[in-house]
Amino acid sequence: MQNRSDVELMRLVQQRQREALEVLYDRYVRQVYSFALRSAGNEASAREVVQLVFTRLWTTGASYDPHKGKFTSWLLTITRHITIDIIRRERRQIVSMHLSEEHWNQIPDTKQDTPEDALVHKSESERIRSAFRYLSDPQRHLVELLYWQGYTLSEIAESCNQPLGTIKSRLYQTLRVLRQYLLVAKEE
Amino acid sequence: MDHNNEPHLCEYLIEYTTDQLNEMDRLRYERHLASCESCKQDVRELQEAWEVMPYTLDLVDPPADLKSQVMNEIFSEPKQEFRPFSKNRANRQTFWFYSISTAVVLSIIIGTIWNYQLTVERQQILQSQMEQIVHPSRIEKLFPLSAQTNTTSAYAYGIACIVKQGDYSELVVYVYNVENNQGEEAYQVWLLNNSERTNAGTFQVGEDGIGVLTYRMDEQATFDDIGITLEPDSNGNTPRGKKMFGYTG
Repeated sequence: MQNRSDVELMRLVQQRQREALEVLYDRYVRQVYSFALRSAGNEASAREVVQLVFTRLWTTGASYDPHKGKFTSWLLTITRHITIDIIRRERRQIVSMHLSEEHWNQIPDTKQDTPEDALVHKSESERIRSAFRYLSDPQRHLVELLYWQGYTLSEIAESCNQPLGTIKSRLYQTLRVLRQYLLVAKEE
Repeated sequence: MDHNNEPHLCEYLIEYTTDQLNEMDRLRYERHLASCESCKQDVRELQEAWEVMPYTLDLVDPPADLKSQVMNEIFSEPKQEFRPFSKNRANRQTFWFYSISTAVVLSIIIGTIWNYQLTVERQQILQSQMEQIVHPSRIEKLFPLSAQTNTTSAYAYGIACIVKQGDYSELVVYVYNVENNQGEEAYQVWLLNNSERTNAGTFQVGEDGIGVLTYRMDEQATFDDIGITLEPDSNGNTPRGKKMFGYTG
């Protein structure tokens, strides 16, 4: 069972084989738990997320389509949806978005540095972390609010007293910069 | 759909990439993508950046007791039991009470989906709603239902599941975004086993576009396909109307 692929294990989960679910748990619980802990910020919520994610695997095994992408990506997408659902449920109001208009205006429209300056790490994770170094603090903060804390674009725009189009434009630039450096790092 | 006919949909690029469109807008945008090369390329490139976020995580070992807690929750019997159906009249009333309650709660929860801003696959949304109503260990099998596109709204969808209720099983079906039936019309559920058809009952769809049906399965009953038709009335024992939903396998 340990040597089965993710797709095979999901098929067995669909056939109600508990051991297959346990193998998937052992294989991916660190990613799911770490994601939830990073996003929700506390152990109790992270535990709840793990519970809900693996419960959903057990009840919705048929939903994974290997033609649409990697199992890990699919699993982490589910994890993110569940995590954000929980933190949004718990968040009664926006209280911690410390981003002034001046701060926003500092978000650059172009890259800050040359790719050749850093990017000395070669592993996948290090490569990605390297690319993040080229984001400005406000750009990183935008990613933090949107991706990890689950605020909507509209909530961020309202909180910062900026038009929605401006926030969207800045996120577009942020993702463009990130991708550009990911590509450069990949070539190295 | 010609992209030039709906250029405003290009504005959904960021919302789509970041999973912030509601279900209907997400489907509209995906149809738009099929004919808009510019958006298609943008989505592909922005998603590459969006999807690397988890790889910046520092992995943390979960608490040692978490696995047993998770597995116990999934595989243990729920504390609150549904009472088995019997020929006894009081128990029959209990059965209908639970069936109707389940249907009502399902309807309320489904109604909240429009406020659910995160983009989740349609069946996943429905199935997660189902988890809140029915303990996972009770769900024996799930049947995603797809609308027959030539007869139903492009946004219609549904799900059926077999739920273990003590010593018998119950079929729970619900559909969403469906046109409400007119006059005597009724939606009717059919179970097929080796081409043998069984009538599993009828249900109505109101103006909210939601339909729910619960049906007690005979002890030995089984089926390999399920279909839903729109019938002229609720009295038929064979399909007379158009097929509206089918099992997607």
